[in-house]
Amino acid sequence: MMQSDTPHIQTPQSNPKASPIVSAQNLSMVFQTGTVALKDANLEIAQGEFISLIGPSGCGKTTLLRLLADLIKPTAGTIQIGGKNPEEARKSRAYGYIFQAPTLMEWRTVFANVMLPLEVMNFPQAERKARAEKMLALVGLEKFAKNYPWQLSGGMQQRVSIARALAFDPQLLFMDEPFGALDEITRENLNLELLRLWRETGKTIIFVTHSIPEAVFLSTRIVVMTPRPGKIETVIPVNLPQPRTFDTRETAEFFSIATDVREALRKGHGYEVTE
Amino acid sequence: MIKSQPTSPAFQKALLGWGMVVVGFAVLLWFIAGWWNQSEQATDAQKLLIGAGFLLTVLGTARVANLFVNTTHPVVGFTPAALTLLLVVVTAEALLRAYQVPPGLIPTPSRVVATLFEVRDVLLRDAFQTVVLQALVGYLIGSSLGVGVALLVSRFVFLERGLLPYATVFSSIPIVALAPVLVKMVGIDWQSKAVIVAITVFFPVVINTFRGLTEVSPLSLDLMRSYAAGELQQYRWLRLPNALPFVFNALKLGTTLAMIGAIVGEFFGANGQGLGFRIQIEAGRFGFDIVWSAIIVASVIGIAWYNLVAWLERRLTGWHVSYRE
Amino acid sequence: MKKWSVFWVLAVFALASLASAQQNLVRVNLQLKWFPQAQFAGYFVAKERGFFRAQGLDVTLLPAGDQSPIQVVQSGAADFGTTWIADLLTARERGIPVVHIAQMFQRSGFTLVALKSSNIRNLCTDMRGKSVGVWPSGNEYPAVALFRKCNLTSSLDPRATNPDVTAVTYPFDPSLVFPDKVQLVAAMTYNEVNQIAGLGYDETKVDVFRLADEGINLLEDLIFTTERVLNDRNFKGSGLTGRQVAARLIRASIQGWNWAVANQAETVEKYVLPVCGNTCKGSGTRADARDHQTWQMAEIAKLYNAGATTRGWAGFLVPADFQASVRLLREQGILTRDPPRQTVDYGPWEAAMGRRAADYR
Repeated sequence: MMQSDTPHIQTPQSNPKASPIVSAQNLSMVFQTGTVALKDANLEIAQGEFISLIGPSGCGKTTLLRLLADLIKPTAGTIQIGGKNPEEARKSRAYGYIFQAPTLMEWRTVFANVMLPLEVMNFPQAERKARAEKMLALVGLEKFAKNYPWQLSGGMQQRVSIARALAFDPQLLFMDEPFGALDEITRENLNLELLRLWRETGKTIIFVTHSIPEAVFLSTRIVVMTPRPGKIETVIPVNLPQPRTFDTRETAEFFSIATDVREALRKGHGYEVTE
Repeated sequence: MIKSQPTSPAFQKALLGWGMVVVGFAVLLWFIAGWWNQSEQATDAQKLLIGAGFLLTVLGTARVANLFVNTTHPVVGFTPAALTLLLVVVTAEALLRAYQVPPGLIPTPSRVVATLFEVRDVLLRDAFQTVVLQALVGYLIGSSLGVGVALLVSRFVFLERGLLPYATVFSSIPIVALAPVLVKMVGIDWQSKAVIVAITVFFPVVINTFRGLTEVSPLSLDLMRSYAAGELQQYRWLRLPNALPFVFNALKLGTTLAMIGAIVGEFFGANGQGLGFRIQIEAGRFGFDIVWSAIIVASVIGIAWYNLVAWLERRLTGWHVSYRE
Repeated sequence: MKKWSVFWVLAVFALASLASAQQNLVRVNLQLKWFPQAQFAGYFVAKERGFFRAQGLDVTLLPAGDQSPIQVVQSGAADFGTTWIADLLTARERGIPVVHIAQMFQRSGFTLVALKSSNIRNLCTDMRGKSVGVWPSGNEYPAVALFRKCNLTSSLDPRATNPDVTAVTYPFDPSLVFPDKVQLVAAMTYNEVNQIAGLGYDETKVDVFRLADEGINLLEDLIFTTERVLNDRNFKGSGLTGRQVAARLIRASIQGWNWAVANQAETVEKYVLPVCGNTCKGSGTRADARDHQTWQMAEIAKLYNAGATTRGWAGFLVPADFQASVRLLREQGILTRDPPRQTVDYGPWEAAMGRRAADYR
């Protein structure tokens, strides 16, 4: 389940210049309290990339994600999601969003939770069931279809929420520290599974984390962010070969990239990064 | 029950417990039978005997109750509670007879049961007026209005600021203060009591439903927004299901409030029938056997109603945290 | 701290001196049948003019509460009470040991009022299918007796599934039910009859049926107590027996009533209006409290100054009247057997008035 033998379908694009699916220019966000959450952020992400936003608390990584998802509106700057502005993109259901907490509806079974977006979006009855079954199988939870969320562990619940985000087949996934609340072992397993999903589905993923190993292991590029004010410090490409395995973490390249990220964070005074 | 060999200590314990219960009840019933048609007080020795029978049964019931600690069967598990009820009733019968308490003060349980049977037609008609016309109609009106208003208030913030504080204030108006005014305004027929019930049920439903509709996790709201769900869809898929347990809490409370409102309302004017009317008339005439019969009818209906709503709640909100094992 | 202890010492002294001033008076609670109004004028006069005190009694007059007077006296919250005969006798039959000790009103003031336009000419024949407004808590018995006498069942009877007459209970105010909800409404000659007039239905528009004229002449306001009080050898530690206290209460009450009936205007002005507050105002042409109570006092005087009272036997329960009430209640099935002899005790009245009941002719 964890490790797929199938070769990756698609080579991730590391060249952001070619028709970006996400593009942000001079993006700034100042909250009503006066806090500058994000200042002058510029970012372009190509189709099929796996981008991590890393940085300490207050660096604006979640803010950036919420801006891209049109959950909040920027105070300055422009965003393009697949050629649309964020509101249009949201209304055309261009992305799936996975939160820190699983955010499952406790009155719905696991299966019904995966069907939720399909019901909201008025998918045909038969297609809803087929898709939900497929997505549950994809995250390996088909046996728990009839259970209620509280009967599942935290890691399983988060897998359900990933299946739910994938159910309506958006091209873009926003993931906001989805594994932050889980223990280390569960998290590493889920990281591997996420990579497999990414390879199998060809989605573009933007992933917020404050763990350097997680970012290095998952990403094609790492966006290093630093606080006060929140800004993009630098973008570090990760040219580790695909598919990545547990062994990837033991390689010299892995450590070298992790060191680069740590240096970049330190340069922006982002000392309080946790690992 | 504990399965055990006839000679095992557990079996002997069980036998002792049941034996005490049987002997205790036998003593009490023997006295009642002997004193059935007496009109003098019992002797001190006989009163002592009642005490002994009572004590024996209490101790026996305690032992028996221990045998049922691990019983999960809903009916069998009720045995100790049923024994307790039976003990209270039988002891009351014996004591009331021993002390020759006049029926105008406290009627014996047997007399109450006989009366209940004798006047059942009238009590059922009374119950129809009190429960169906007054309590149920008022309850349905009050709770549906309550849910409707809560929906509006949760949708329009200005209503929340302008209206909700009053709901909290109004919900604490005691029914006895409200009832005479409403009976005077609406009249003595069942409608006035339905209005009383509707008002008392309305406010808790508004407050609870509003809480259920608004105490939604911000992440869930973000999720609905990410689905580009409109206001209506947000209610349908998130707010309403989230509110359901809250609504049921109010609806369960409402059954009790409705019965109280309907009965108490009749004390301030009634059109010649109803359980409250019957209780008031008969209490004034020392017809406490009828008063108790009416109370039994009201209680049985009240409990059944509550359990019906609780059953619906389990059916519809079985997922809720309160039902997890 | 010091200041407070001084205060407490003073307070204890003040209480102690108050107590010593009253220590010779026996504290007695008398439960009235209704709220303060001219109906109880005699007791107000006895209290305020010192007739009770002269008998060594410190009497507190309790207005009606949630319970019937019988319940209050039976529970011990009051020592004596005033009520009507049917209430007393049914309670006695249900095993409540209450005892009749003095009959203050010699006539019944209970009426049923109907609009002339409702075409009720004869109660017995025209009442079937009608609604009748009555007061609960033992005040419905005269109406019940009438229904039974006319062979009509009513909704007051828990054994009548299809009652001929719907009895509607209403609190205080006849306007709640009359004439919209009921065709007939219970009304006392001295109170509700005037309230109904105030609603715009005066004597020209309504018929007032006195139940006494229909053969339902049930005795009304009487003084009663319990066997427990009468048999008390040392009433509340006063050194007096319960019977002595009862006799003193009766003597002072009759003094009060005689004075009230003889000085009606002064009684209303000085002793009724100051205590009757909000409940004593009338309606219509006699809406003013003074007018209503003055009129009520006159009506009450007619009930007091009748029968035995006119022959100098005030407070006396005429045995023939008592037997008539009992017979009526038994005939109508309201009582199932004759009340026991202890139900009426002439002893306190005889002691109070220095007469022997057997001498009444």
